[in-house]
Amino acid sequence: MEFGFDFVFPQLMAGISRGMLLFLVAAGLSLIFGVMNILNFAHATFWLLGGYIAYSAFTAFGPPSGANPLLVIPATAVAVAALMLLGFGLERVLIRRMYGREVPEQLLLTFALVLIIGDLIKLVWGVEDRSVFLGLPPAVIFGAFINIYYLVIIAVGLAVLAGLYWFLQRTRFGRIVRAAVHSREMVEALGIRIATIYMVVFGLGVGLAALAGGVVLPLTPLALGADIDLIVQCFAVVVVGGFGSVIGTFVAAILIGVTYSFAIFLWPDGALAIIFLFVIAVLVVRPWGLFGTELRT
Amino acid sequence: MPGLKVRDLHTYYGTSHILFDVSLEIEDRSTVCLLGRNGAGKTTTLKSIMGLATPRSGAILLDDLEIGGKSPVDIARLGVGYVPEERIIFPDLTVRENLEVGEKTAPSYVVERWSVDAIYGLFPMLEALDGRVGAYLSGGEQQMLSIGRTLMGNPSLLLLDEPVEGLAPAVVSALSTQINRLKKMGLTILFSEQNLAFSEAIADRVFIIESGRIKYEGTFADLNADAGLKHRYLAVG
Ligand SMILES: Nc1ncnc2c1ncn2[C@@H]1O[C@H](COP(=O)(O)OP(=O)(O)O)[C@@H](O)[C@H]1O
Ligand SMILES: [Mg+2]
Repeated sequence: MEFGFDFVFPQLMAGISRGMLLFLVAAGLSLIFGVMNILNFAHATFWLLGGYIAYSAFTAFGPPSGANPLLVIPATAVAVAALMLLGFGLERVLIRRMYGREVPEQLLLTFALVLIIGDLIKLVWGVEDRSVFLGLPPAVIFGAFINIYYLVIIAVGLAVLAGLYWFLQRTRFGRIVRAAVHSREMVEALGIRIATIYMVVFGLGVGLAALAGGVVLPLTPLALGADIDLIVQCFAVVVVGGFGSVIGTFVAAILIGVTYSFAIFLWPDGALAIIFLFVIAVLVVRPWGLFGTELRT
Repeated sequence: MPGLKVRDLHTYYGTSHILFDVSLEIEDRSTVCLLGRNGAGKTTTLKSIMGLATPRSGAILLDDLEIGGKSPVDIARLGVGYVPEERIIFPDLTVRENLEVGEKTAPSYVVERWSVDAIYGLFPMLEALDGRVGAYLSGGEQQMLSIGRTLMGNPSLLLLDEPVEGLAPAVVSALSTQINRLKKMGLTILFSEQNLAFSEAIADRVFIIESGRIKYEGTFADLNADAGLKHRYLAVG
């Protein structure tokens, strides 16, 4: 194997787009933990469910192979809308009961969601892998062949980063969310109804996971159990980036995505091990993550 | 009669009984001090009024409306502003953003609504710090910001828990001037304090609390005339 530019550049692009997927899912995970103190083990399962719903929507509009690539947009919109509604509902009836509970209890409940949604997927979509094929021509960038769809994913990831940043920094709602990361009690004492904030944050986080599910549909086949692989890597991202930091989550997601993309080539069986060595190295130097602050409790 | 009335409050933390029969009466537009040593029950009293601690029995009337048993959010929306002893500035938000979080979409209980500029008028020190994040403020700056943030919600009753605790003398005198201005604007104020001199400079009346019980209620003139009382319940005799 030749480790020249022709190998490195496409691999780097693959890694960055994998990083974008990690970012979209981990951003919600991190926000939900930062604001509500809920460790949502089912977060990547929402990603998977979103992917299946997007798949069904896509195939309702056209055939799974060779359809108009733009159909990904309405298919993803359907998945995001469905999962956001599910997120609002689950927060109301289930997650709300977990506030202030211990992490093991939260993991137990959200792991039950992983199993329930997994079975639901099996019932509705069966056990076979599902995928859509767009048949896009590769792009030639700097003389290297690149899957053009990587560029779509990278653009979506950057747009979400910008959107989240704007939402958190520039809107009143975002300011309250950042305040709630520090003290729920103080926010309430200022007369702000935190219940609404929590519901929106949870729904938004789940919606972002569904967005990822829809957007990567043309790139990765949907498979049962893929959520477990992803959630483990998302936890790694959030820990490296620092809980509650959007920028940190983004940087960590790209680092881990790229690391994974090269590791899987160099040492396929050890790719996950390499990621976790990286996590350990970061934690030794900065226990609160790359962008987290020591102040946070 | 408008104002705040607290009657026969009993508050517990778990099984430990903290407040015993606490009763307070604060006339509308007056400023009252709750004096007492460390651990006397001042914070618990203010938290009970704010709904942050739940009294097991007793009544709390705000302008003759029972607020006991309501949630802190609802109590805040009825016009009670609470400034905690720990100040609890949001560390990642700038000074301006901290103030903006204090705005709420509830009825205003003051004639003239507060704005960020009006807060900067009251605390000129904060204006210079407009874009600085909360994590990098001194104790005095945090206290002014915490008060300003609560004022942004346009409360009619302000609860201040030991507002000058641990602050330098110059800051203490600035705060006493500023709180006096709030008083002149017509706010009803209940604040807790350990230090007699500071409270005398702003309060109209004083309650003394000790071991969760109210031991004295009256004017500073009467309190100063009774050396034994001061010696028994206050840090300095
Ligand atoms: N969360 C709590 N749990 C149990 N006891 C508490 C708690 N907070 C305060 N106390 C006790 O209640 C008493 C009154 O405390 P506090 O109201 O904070 O007093 P002060 O504000 O006057 O210093 C003290 O004896 C204190 O130890
Ligand atoms: Mg106290």
